[in-house]
Amino acid sequence: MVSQSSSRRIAAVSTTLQVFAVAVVLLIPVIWMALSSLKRPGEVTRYPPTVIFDPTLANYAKLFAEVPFFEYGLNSLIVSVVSTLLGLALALPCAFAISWHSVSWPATIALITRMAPGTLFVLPWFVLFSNLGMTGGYWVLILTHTVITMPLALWVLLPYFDALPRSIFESAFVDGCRGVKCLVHIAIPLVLPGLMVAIILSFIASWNYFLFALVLGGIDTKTLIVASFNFVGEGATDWGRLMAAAVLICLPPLVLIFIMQRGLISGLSGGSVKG
Amino acid sequence: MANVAINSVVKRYGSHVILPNLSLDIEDGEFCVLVGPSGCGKSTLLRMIAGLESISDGTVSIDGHVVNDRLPSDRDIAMVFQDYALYPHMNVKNNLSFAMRMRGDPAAEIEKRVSYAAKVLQIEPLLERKPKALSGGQRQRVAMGRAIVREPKVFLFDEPLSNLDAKLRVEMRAEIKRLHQRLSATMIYVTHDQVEAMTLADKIVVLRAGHIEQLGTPAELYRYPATTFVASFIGSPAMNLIPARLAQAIVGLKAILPDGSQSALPVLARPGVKAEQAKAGTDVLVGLRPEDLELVAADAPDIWMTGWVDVVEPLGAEALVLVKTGPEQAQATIPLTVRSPNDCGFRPGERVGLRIDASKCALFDAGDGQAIGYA
Ligand SMILES: Nc1ncnc2c1ncn2[C@@H]1O[C@H](COP(=O)(O)OP(=O)(O)OP(=O)(O)O)[C@@H](O)[C@H]1O
Ligand SMILES: [Mg+2]
Repeated sequence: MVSQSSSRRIAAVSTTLQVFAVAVVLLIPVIWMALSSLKRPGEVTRYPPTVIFDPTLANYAKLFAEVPFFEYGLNSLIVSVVSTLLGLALALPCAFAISWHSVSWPATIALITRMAPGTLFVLPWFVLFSNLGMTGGYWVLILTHTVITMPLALWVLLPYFDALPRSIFESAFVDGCRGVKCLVHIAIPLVLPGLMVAIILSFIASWNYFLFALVLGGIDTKTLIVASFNFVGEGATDWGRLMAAAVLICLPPLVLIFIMQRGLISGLSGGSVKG
Repeated sequence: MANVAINSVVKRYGSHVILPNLSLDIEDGEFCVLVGPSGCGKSTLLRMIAGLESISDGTVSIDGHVVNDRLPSDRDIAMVFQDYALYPHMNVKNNLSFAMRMRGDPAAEIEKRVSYAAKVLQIEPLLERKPKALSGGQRQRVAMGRAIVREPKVFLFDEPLSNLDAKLRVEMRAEIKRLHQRLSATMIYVTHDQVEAMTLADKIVVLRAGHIEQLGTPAELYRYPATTFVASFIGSPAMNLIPARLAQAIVGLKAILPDGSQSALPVLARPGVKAEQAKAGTDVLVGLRPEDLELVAADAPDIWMTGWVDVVEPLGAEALVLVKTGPEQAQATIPLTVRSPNDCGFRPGERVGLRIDASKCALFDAGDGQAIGYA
């Protein structure tokens, strides 16, 4: 017989090992990307890849010298932040209502927009927004990205709303707190962990969404992800510079995740009900 | 303070009728307990008064005003939920003041009422804590405090004590009673615990499958149950219902008991009971509270009936003796509960005689369970 404490230790060790294995698989490309961005042109494509080399920041310097990287970053930031906020502003009341009335079809309909590939939308949208004279502006990107972020946020938030006891809201109704007030004072604080997840996923989805930005964006509203695609040259690709751009593109979502991490701690609704 | 009038109220979910037609008046300052088995519609009725459930038909009035179309917050009621429903992200103080803040009351007034409620409920040291850091009983107090702070016309309670352990339940029961005496507000209290109903109520309303089976003071319901349902629901242990057959018509009733003996019962027919409901040969149930039966030796004089001791349950101050009766021991299947002094000295299987306090008995129609008369 294995004693309880040693079986618990085995479980802990095996969990650690599994997490480690997954982390290695996930991190190797990232590490490889980060290392490549620090290599000189000849070094990047060497096979087998070198681990010990003389690092340089030349790729980054070239990147900032040759392309308006910050402007592209700002474009990405504007589109991602606004489409995330807009998506949340729509998804929050929507998730609340769907959960409260337990009718699921609006959520299913919202999901359909995510089932179809973006290429299906992009052509009619191009025609539509061209006629409206909106292509090339920020709003066309924000609106189309909200089509991505809203259903995402909605489906992330739904289980968080479903988990809240009805009586809390009924109590709020009796206390004279309804509608938007109820959303602000009761619902949002209670689904905060879900809100954090929704913000992170929406932001990343919008930040990295390529197709709409490529087709509907313009020179002035080019996003980072579209801009970095230009580094893939017709003949020779400047891998070092591409990797440097990739590293920089990864940073804002990473920063966001670190900021939001504290809010992810769940268990906020504990202690409301029962003894 | 206000009276509540429920007038021909109907509740349907689609074609499913929960409350067929219910009328009830609750006086100003009255403590009214709605009691009944699970699923009988107690919570539904309470939630209709609160405005959390729509009213399919009929009217609910509070303080003389029909409130059917008013929002819960405009009915001037406060509700204490079974699961307390505290706001988990707010500390106790903010939980207490939330309704007043929503109403936009002046800060000084909020402060005053919160500290009053905290004092009454002895939760002053807990004001800065979140609900998560409170015990079940403390959460219960906060939930009540939230209601007190609002100074509503009507307090509504939906099984507020059912999540507490037995000891705390008894304490909080007294607390609620004290609260009612102190505030003398109208309170409507839902429970399925008849002990809570008996101890708290000015008026008990016994609900069964969506209709009022009987309403009255606890003493009335205990002494004069209108049906066998009420007889067995109110009182613990329940009233004994002994099947018998009337040997003689209603005036100077005489019943043939399960053991074959005959007994004259000084029962007076209830007003409205028809003669044919109480004629000789009618199957009846003789209702007797456990404390109105006495165990004596089987050969003692003036015994009412005989039976066999089944189980003795000592309770400390007294004992409950379960007796089975019938024509003979092998067929003794009719159970009786007798409240007896602790040292009654009877052993299981022993033949015993039963004496009754016939002046406390009730008689029910065995068919529809309606009371025929009371002694
Ligand atoms: N939304 C609903 N749709 C259909 N039927 C419902 C709904 N809500 C409640 N009911 C039914 O209404 C009846 C009364 O319910 P209610 O909650 O009032 O019972 P209760 O007397 O409070 O019981 P308990 O003591 O178990 O709380 C039950 O039979 C229940 O199944
Ligand atoms: Mg109920």
